[in-house]
Amino acid sequence: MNKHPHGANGETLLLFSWLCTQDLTTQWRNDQQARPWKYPVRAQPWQEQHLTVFPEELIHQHVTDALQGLHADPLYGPAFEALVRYRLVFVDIDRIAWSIELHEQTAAMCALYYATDPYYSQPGDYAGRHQTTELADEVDAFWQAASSHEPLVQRWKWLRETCGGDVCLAARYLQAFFLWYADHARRKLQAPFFVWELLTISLKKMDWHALASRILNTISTEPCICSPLQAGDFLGKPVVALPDFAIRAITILSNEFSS
Amino acid sequence: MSIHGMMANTETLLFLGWAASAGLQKTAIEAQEEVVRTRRPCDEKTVLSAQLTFSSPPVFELDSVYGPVYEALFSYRLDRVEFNLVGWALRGFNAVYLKPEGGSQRIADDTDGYSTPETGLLWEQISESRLLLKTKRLMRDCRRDLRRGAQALRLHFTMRAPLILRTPECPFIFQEFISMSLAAVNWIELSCLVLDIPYDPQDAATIDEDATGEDEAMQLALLKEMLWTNYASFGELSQVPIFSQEVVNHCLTISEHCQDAYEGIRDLEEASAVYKRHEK
Repeated sequence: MNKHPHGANGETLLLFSWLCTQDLTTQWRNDQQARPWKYPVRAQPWQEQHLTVFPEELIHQHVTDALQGLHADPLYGPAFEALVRYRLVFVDIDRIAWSIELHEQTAAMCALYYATDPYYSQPGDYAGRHQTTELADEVDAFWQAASSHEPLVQRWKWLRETCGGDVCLAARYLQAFFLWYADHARRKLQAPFFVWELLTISLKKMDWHALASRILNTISTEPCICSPLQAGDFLGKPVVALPDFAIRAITILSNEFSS
Repeated sequence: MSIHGMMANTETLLFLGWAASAGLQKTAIEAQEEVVRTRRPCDEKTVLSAQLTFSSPPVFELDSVYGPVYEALFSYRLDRVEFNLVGWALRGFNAVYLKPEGGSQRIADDTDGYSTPETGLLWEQISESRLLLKTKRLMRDCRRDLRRGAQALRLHFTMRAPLILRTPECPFIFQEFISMSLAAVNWIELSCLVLDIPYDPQDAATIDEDATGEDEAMQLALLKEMLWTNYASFGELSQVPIFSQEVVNHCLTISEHCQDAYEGIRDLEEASAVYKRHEK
């Protein structure tokens, strides 16, 4: 059967590549035993079994299981999960499911190629079924999870007291902290590579000034003169080797040194 | 121009996922433009895998004993990538879908008489290096119990994987390829090879290698062994005359930390406070 080619963005290919490493055959077999009504049987003995596409619900289950690893971080786990879930809205899960061909189990209807056209960067959709989101951007996703997370309330208070109304300073602290913390979390928490890759993408796209404005509950009236921070200044570095302002950020925002 | 869907194995799709996220579409397009310009064939494997080497820290070079083992396991998987498919999919010339290689196709692979190619590969690396003595000692400690020996070997090689694999500096594809190779090793057969006894697949089928009852004790033993080995190794390195005093001090610091950690864990063991289930 001809496979319909379809463009896929980087996030889709990342999730697809991770799924390929999972035991999809066993998962399919277990699902068939658990929900036999979803798998059509041969009407006549001489007919080939009608092969269906891989159920996308099983992919959603895989993803949910994968995100459990973030729960081990009581402080920023929920915010990180929100950022990854926001990124997952851009993943075309339907077409991933249609691109999986398992011997005598599922038929692939689709094949994927890498596409950077903005059309493929929209939330995944097909025939009216949309993976949509009410969130405007990464700041929205992060703040929705972090604003009401009790362990972080004190952290935001300290950040407000430290920065006053200086949005640029708070943005610098936030960016430095999360560049360091995401690296730190990756070494501690058990989660598949696609979770960290999607989190990294979300953190790169984060508007730190917008997030700082939300936390400080203020809008900056001064022109921004911030120079961008370089990830290399933070990744893999012990805390004592970081710039002073980054150490200050870590003290305020994490459990590493705060009392 | 019509785009065709081509079947691809897991390794190819993993590499494609990494290549897309690493921005290699531009590299693939430039390589193709070079082909058109010079009319010379394009070696997609050289172009794309060179980018992997170029963008990665030294993963295997830092450990002269274990490095070659993991490099062999990684290279085995890399050789299974169909780079022409990756190049096409990156450029949008063709598309790919997953069709994993079935059991019969794997049997057709050249296993050299081992139950899996990965088992043969790992045994080759062990038998031709200092690791042979180490693994024989490990099996001796397991009192020649095949199941325990298989567990010990599996944990040993899983835990000895370079720590740099779990850092953002190291592309995820290294860890994934090595994990795939380790998962395909027949640890029962490897135990037999280390013990130099015949391997019987029928007997192996009755051995439940994954029994977790003694897994905790084994992991703890391996952790303590690693701490003690590093305490000794860094202590020895501090005696190397070519190093500056600062380097010597760093080695001594690490050695002391390993010793402190070893003693701390031993105290926790005596107080039955080693495992998470002991936490209140």
